Amino acid sequence: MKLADGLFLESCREVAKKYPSITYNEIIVDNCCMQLVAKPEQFDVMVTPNLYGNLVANTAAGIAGGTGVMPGGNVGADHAVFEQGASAGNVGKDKIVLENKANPVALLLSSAMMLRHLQFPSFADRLETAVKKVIAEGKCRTKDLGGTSTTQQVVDAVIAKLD
Amino acid sequence: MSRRSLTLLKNLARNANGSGIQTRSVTYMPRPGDGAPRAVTLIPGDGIGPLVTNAVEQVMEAMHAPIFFEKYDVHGEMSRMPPEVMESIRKNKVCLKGGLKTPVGGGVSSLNVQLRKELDLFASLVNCFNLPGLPTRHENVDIVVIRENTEGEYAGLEHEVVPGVVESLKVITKFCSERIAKYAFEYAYLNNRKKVTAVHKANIMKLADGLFLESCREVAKKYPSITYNEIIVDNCCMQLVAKPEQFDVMVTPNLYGNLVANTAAGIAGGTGVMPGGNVGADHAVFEQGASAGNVGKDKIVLENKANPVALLLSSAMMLRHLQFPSFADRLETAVKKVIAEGKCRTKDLGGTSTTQQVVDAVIAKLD
Repeated sequence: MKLADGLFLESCREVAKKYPSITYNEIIVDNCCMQLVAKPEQFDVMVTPNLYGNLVANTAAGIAGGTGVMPGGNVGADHAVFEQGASAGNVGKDKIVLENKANPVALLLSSAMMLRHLQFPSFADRLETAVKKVIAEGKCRTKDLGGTSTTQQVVDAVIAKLD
Repeated sequence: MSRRSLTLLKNLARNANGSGIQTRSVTYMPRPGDGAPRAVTLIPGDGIGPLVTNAVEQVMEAMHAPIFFEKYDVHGEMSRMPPEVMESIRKNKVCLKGGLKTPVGGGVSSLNVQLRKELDLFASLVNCFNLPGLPTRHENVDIVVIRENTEGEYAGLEHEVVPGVVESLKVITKFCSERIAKYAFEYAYLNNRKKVTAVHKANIMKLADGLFLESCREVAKKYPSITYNEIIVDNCCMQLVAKPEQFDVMVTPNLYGNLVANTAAGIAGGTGVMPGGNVGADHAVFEQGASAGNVGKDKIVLENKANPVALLLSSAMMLRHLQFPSFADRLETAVKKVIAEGKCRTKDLGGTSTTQQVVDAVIAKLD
């Protein structure tokens, strides 16, 4: 898509010139998907047009642990909306809702981002630390992470780990 | 001794892996345009001031931090702060300064104090904490002294009643006491601190310090999850040198705050390394934490042996104040690594390095 994506690339190149200390490179999206599953550690920040971003974000989320744990949000000049990172529009299967086995980690980490956005860094750190400790311990995990806990059990574990 | 070296080794090992240093930049989502450079007024000042402010300039440059300095030449002998400097600070809202020499005696009031009063920077904050790699007699010290900055013994109201008799007025107002108490509790709340201690001498100054205490108690009621206690200032000084780890956040009137901050700074490693600043409703002025008006001995200036760490850490606080947390973290991490390594230290920390050598070491450790 020489014109459409070409315009996107031109804009990125222009802005890149103003940040000489930040390395800038480009990658075609099919090769990108392959690199993501083969050697994801080569990537740092990725800027994409709308559709590729959707695919790349979901792929990267899956690589790094699943859409149930990745935080994210949407920001504009005046407002910000925080939601689950990847696959945010996903409302889950009915079964997960009935059994209360949804993973709250993604939205908890997104709300930590939200706390930082609101300039409450200390609360954000506490929340993140508690969530990371719960994950690190490995005792309390929902189904998507290979465990059998309910949402409420994960919440209780996080609250217990708050300092 | 062995207990301390074990902690030292553990900290060094952690720093070497980098895993002990928390990186917040991972989940900080800026608003579009947050990267636009901010103007900061810079007042190098007297004595060691130009040396240490220049250190900050160099490190900011090395980091490509999104700030640029508007430098102004101000000296302690001036009778007033030049109006263009005040205008610049009012416009930029944030200022970084070195000390301004205050003549002892005479009729000239300190420019440092003048600045704080004119901008109504009612809270002075000093963070005194143990730095890994700098062992002191006490461990686990992490005290934040929040000092009322505008009234009290610094009201500047003195007169000679009859020759040989001087009266000095200490003014304590409910308004100022309340707002410093509110700031102290708000600070504790926003920084996950557990305890606020009010320092006073209300057994002697029953009305003045009594009013201060009443205001603190009122505010404490609104923060039931934060422990509040009070300590008489003489006992406080003794406790500081005996068991400083019992203190967390301390809220004090003007003079006691000055003394407590300097004591706590000395306990935890020296006034050469403790960061701090002054804040009011609309402006913030960052300077060396404790003993900020101190311009150092001439010898230190000549030999370029002033310690830039305090002002570097204060400028990290300034970066956070300007909402550039990632740069603040990088700067702090680099400074802490240099201290932990122990190779590059100025005279006050027991070493022989010059200011420039410390700056170079910090820049080398920036990631």
